[in-house]
Amino acid sequence: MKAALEIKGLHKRFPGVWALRGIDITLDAGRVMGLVGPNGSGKTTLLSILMGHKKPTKGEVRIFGMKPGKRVREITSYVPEIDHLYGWMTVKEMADFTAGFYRSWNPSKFRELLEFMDLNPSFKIGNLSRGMRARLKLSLALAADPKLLLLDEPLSGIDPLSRDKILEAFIKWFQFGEQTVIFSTHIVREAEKLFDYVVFLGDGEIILQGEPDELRNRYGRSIEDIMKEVYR
Amino acid sequence: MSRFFLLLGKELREERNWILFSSIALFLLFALFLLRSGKWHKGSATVIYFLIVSVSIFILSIVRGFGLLKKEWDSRTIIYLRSLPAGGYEVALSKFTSFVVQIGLFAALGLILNYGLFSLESLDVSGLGFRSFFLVYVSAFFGSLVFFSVPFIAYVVGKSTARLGKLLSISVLLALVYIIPKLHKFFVRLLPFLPKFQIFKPEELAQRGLTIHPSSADLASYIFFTVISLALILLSGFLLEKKVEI
Repeated sequence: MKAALEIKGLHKRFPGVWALRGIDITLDAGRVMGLVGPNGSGKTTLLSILMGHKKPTKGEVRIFGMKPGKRVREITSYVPEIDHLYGWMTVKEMADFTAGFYRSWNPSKFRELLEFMDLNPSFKIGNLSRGMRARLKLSLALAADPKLLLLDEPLSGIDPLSRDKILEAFIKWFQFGEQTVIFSTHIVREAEKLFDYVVFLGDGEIILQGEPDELRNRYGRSIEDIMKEVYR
Repeated sequence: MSRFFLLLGKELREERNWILFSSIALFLLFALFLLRSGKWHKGSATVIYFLIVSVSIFILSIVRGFGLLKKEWDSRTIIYLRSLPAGGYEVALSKFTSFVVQIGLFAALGLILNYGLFSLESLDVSGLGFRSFFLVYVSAFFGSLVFFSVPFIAYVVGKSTARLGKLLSISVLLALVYIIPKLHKFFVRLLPFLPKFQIFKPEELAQRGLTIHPSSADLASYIFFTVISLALILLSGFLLEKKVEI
């Protein structure tokens, strides 16, 4: 199977600090990778490099054989942790704007997602709660039907109802086996059942990586408990 | 619809309040001058209105040049914008085009209202006909393209480095302020065959004890302002795509 992601010897330095050191990851297409680690471990920096928002200091990154850039963005949806949508737009305006950029945009899927997420198209984004904005971000990302989905802490800092909705929507509309996802989180308990590959990051380095079943067998405990032990 | 037009549509919708506000400001100023014109020296309302609008064009250009991208950074929407499959040059060009539309509307409305005051004051002094105002408005419009694109690229360059960004930004700004007039002179000399438009009649103004520089505008300058602005905007787009980290 063609690799969705190939990262070799990736380093990223910010003034005075190495954010990533020697990251090597190969991920086949159609897999769900959990990128876990505490805050400040380098998860967001890694995803930013994949999107081309940050440039590597050293090392190589290939996404479906391409360097991060415009062509990669055509097949990728990115959901960052922060609020990055235009507050002055309504939900419908945001969707219409986004739809124009993706050939793969699926309007019926977006309508279904809006209904499931209890989002009214006439709502102004600036007036939505954090949880509702998180729901909208995921809906926009899923409706674009991307080959690669990058989710940066989609469950962080939101109410339990929104967290459940986001996980349910992901399970319902994400095309397992066809689409590839990198799911960054430090809240592992609710998401670990989704992963078929896990990378543990700590201080910018890979501490551990492998298939969840293999890791569970090797350590005799859940991914969440492995994480607690690794970062203790 | 092409990505450029999608981005341009977004820019214009985002700026609609600004367009409305600036239009209202021009009308209010016009109304004020209309009321006061009878009490002032003949021609004062036309000239003062003209000065306020033309100076505003340049000030607004600088403010928009720094502000249009800064706003995206401050609201963190730059992450959304740069996650879309649009090139940096499309983002930069859409912002530039949106500015051209805004400042074009502002200048056109200013010119129309200025003509209203001009007609009301029956001002057609030799050497200062309305054609003079028209040409200065056109020159201000083309000049504003440079006044926008220089701070725009200075802001982008400042964002392309993790350290000393502001210092780099100011250095680029000063360097361009120094280089562009020299390039302008050189460019205009290369195209002497292009038409010049006389704005004022210097000899007639001199008889009235006035000297105004420059007394003429030229097509070569308009072409230069457009070309250099587009070049700076495209370079900004390249930097946005290849060098700037968000």
